[in-house]
Amino acid sequence: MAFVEFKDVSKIYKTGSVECRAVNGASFEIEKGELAVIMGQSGAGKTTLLNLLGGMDKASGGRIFLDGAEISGYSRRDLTRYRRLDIGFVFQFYNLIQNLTALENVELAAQICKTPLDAKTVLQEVGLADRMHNFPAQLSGGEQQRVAIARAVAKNPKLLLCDEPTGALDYKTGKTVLALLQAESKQNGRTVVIITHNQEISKVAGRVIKIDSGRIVGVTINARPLDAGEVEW
Amino acid sequence: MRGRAYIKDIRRTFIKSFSRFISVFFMAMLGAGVYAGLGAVSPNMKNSVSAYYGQQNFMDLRILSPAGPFTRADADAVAALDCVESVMASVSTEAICAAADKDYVARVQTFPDEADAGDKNYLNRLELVEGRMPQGSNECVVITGSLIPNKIHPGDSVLVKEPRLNKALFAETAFTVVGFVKTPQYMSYMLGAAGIGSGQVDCVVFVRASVFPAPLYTELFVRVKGAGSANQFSKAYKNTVAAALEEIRTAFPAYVVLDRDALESHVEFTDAANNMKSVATVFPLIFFLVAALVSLTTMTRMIDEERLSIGAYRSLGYGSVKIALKYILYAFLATIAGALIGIGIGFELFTRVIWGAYGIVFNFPALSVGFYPGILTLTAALMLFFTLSATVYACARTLRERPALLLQPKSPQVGRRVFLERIKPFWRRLPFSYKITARNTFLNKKRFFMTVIGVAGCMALLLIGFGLKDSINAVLMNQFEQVFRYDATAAVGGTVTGGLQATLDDASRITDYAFVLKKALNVENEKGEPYDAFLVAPKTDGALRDFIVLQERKSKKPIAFGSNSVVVTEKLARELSLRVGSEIRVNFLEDAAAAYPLTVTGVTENYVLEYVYVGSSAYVAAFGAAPEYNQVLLKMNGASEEQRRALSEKLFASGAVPSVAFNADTVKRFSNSFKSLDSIVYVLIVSAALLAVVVLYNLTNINIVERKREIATLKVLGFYARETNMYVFRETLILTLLGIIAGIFLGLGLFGFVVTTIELKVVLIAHIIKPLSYVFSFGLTAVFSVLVALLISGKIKGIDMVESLKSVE
Repeated sequence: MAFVEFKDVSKIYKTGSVECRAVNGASFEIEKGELAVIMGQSGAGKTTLLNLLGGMDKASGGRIFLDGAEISGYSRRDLTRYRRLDIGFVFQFYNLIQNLTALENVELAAQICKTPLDAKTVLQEVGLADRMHNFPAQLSGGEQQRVAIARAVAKNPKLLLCDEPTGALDYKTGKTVLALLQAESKQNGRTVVIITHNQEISKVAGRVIKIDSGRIVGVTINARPLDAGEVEW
Repeated sequence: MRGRAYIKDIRRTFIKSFSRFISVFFMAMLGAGVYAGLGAVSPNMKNSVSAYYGQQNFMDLRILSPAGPFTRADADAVAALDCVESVMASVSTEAICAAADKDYVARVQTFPDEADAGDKNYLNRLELVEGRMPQGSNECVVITGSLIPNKIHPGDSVLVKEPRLNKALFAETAFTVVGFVKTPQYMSYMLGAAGIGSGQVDCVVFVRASVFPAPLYTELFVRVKGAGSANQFSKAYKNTVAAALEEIRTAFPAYVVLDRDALESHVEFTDAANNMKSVATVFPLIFFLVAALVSLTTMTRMIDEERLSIGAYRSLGYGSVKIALKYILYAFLATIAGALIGIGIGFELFTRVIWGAYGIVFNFPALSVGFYPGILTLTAALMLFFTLSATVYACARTLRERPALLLQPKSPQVGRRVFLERIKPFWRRLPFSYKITARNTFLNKKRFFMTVIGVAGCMALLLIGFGLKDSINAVLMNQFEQVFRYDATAAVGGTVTGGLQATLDDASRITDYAFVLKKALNVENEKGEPYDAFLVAPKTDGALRDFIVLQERKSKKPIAFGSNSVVVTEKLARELSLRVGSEIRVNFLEDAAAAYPLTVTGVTENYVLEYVYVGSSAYVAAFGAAPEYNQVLLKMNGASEEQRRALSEKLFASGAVPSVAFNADTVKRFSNSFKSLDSIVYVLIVSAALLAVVVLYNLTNINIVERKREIATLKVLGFYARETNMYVFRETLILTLLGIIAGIFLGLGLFGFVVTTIELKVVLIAHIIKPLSYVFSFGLTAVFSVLVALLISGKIKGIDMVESLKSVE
C-alpha cells in the first residue's frame, strides 16, 4: 500500500437543493518521502482535496489512507488528533500569530506534538537563526513563510501539506521557499504535498497530480525533477 | 443614480451587520434605561403622593396651643386670616387602648361627623380601605402600623383605658371596629412616637367628632390658600406655606404652628424620595461610561472592517462627510432606537419595582407613572453624544489616511513584549500558553480597559447591593444586641408602687431591672436647629450602663455616666453638630414653648432612633423637679416567645404594668420594614448581571471576529476544542480577575457615598460589607463571565478552518 492513498473519493457540497460535486471519484497515490504537486486551475477542486487530505473536512464517499490508517473513517476528534500529530500545514498567507515571536510561533505548534523537533534547530535550518526573536510584522514575506515552514516541520509530521506556499511571494523569494520544501523531502525523507496552480512548480516534483472540474485528469511520475534553483516562472 | 447606489449600500450594510446593530442598540437601551428609569423614580413617587395629598385635602399646617384647648371662636379667628383656605378643628389624644385582649398605644383622633367629600373644611380625608365608615358614635375605623400588623380585625371592640385627655371629655370609650382607612397624615406604617406606654404609636383610632361633645379642640389643621394648586413638593408650595406659617405665628404668638416637616410620615417619605434621587445619580454613571466605551469599540471595529469600502468611496471621489454619514447614521439609528425603548421600559420598570418595595414601609396611594420629556431628552442626548462622538472619532481616524493606503488591508497590529517579560525568573517559569495570554491581554489596550471597566462596574454594583443589605441588617443587631443590653421595656402607671417592685423581684425570669423616665422630646442646638429624640433618665445613675452600653463607636472607649451626665446619641450629635460641652435646649411635645438647657457630657454609639440620657442631678437642675419614672427596663434569662408571653401576663396581672414591649419583637418588626430594601438590592444585582453579560459578550465577540483567522489556524494546527477555547478565554479570565479587583475599590468608594445618602432620618447605618458578600459578588461576577464564555464557545466552534486559507481582508 502506498503512503497516501485516495480511493474513489468524492465530496459533495449541498446549498439548499443544489448539489455541487467539488471532487468526483478521485483516486491517486503518493509514496513515502516523495515531493508531490497537486495542480489545477482555481475552482478545479484542489482546495477540497487539500481539506480532505489535511483532515479539515470529511469525504462524502470513497476512502482515504495515510500510512496505513484510514482517515476517511475518523471522527471529528480523531481528525483533530490527526492534524495535530500527522500533518504539518503551510499556508499561502503564512498565518503566523502576530503576537508571538518567530521562535514562539514554532514552539506553539511543537508543544502540542508527541515527538517535536527542537524549535531553535529548525529555525536555524530555515536560515532564521538571527531573526527568531522578531515578531512576524518585523519580518519580510519570505522570512514569514520560512517561519511557517519551520512551524510545520517542527511538529515532525508524517506529511507536510502546503497550500500555494509561494503564491504571496515574489519570484526570487518563492524559489528559496520551494528549495526548502524540496530539501525537506530529499534530505529528511519527509513526504511533502504542494497544492498550486503554477505549472512551473510542478517541475520540481517527483509526482504531479492534475485535477480539473473535480476529477483527476492525470498523474505523472517525474523521474528527474528539477532542482528548485533551476525553475523559472 | 449615484445617490441610489449609495443608499442601497447603506441598506445592505445595515442588514449585513445586524448583530452589531443589536449590540449598539442593546448597550444604548441598557444605559438609557437605567439612567432614565432611576431618574424617574423620585419624581414619580413625589407626583403620585402629591396628587394623593391634594385629593385627600391634606393639611399644610397644624396648630397646637400650649395654653389650653382651642374653642370654636379660636378656629374661626384662624380661618378669617387672608392666607388661610380652610380649617378643621379636631381632637386627638394618646391613649392606652385594649383591643382583642391586648393593650396598645393608640392615638384617638376625630374626623367630622358630616364627612362630606366636597367639604373644603374636611382635611386629612380618610379613604376607606376595608369595611365601612362609622355611623354611630360608638363605632370607629382604624389604621394599624407595622408594629401590630393584622392584630385588630373588623368587629373587634376597642376600649379606651387610659387616655391622656381627661376621660370625662369622652362621650363613649368603647368602640366597635367597622373598617380600616388610610390617610396622608399616617402614610408611613411607622405611626410615630408616643408619650406613653412603649413610646411608639401602635394604631390610630378614628372616631366621629361627636364622641367629644364639648366644643374644645386639641389641634387645628389648616390648608393654606394657593398651596393646593402647586406640586406639594415644589419650592412654590414651600414658599406659600412658609409665608402663611409666618403670618399665623405673628397673629397668634401663643400658638405652636407646625408645617408638614413636623410630621414623621411626610418627612420619612420625602427622605425616601430624595434618597432615590441620589442613588439615581450614582449608578447610571457606571452604565453610561461602559455603554459609551462599548459603542466606541463596536463602531471602531465596524469602520476597520469597512476599510476597503471606505477606500473605494474615497477613490471614487466621495467626500469625507458623506462617507462618515453612513456610519454616523448607523450609530444614530441603533442608539436612538435603543435609548427610546430603554427609556420606555426604564420609566415603568424601575418606578414600579421601587414603589412596590417602599410599599412595605408606606401605605401608598395608587401609583401614577408619569412621562418625563426632560429626562427623555437629556438621556437620549447624552447617549447620542457618547456614541456619536465615538463614531466620529473612529471615522476621522480612518478617513485621515490616504485613499491609496485605505485600499490596502490595515497592517496587522505589531506584536510587542509586555512588561512582565522583564521579570525574567517569573517569565521563564510561566507556562507557554500563559505567556501568549499575557501578551494578548496587554496588546489591545482598548479591549483591556473596556473589559476591566465593565467587569469592575459589575463587581462594584454587586458589592454595593450586598453591602447595603449587610449594613442595614447590622443596624438592628448593633442596636439590640450591642447597645441595648436589656430584653424588654414595661410601662408603669404613674408612680412606682411597692407592689410592682415586689412582682419584679419575685419574677424568676427577670434577672435585673431599672426604672427610667422615657419621654419623646425635641432637641435644639445653639443655632436653634431642631431634632426629635427621646429623653431617658434612670432612677439609679450607676445602673444605666448595665442596661445600655455607653461608648464611643470607633474607639469603643466607655463613656462615664454619673448624676451630672448628659449623654447624647451619635447621629443626634452629628445632625446638630454637638460635642462634649455643647449647650442644647430641649422641649416636650405637650409644651413646645418651654425650653430647658442641658450641657452635653458625652456622645455615644447608637443606631436606631435618638436618645438623650440625663443623670439625676442634671435632670433636677434642668427641669426643676425629680423625674417621674414611667418605664422599667428588664433583663431576662431566656426570652423565647413562650417565656415572653408568660412574663407579660404576670406583669399585667400585677395591675401596675399596662404594656410590655420586647426588643425581640421590635427587631422582627423592623426587619420586615427593611425587606423593602431587598428589592432595591435585587435591582442592583440584575443590572450588574446585564452589564457584565452585555459587556463581556460584546467584547469577547469582537475579539473572536477580529481573530477568526488566528483561531482557524489553531484549529488547523490541531488544537483541541478545549485548548482553542482556553486560548481565548484565558484572556477573558485574566481581564475578569483584574476587573474584579478594580471593582472592589470602585465598589468601596461608591458604597460609602451611597450609604450616606440613603441613610434614613432616624437610623445610623454603619458601613459594613461582610466577607460573605465579597464571596457572593466575586462568585456572581465569575458566573456571568463563565456564562458568556459558554455563549461564545459555540461561536468558536462555528469558525470554519477554511477561514485560515482565505487571503487577508
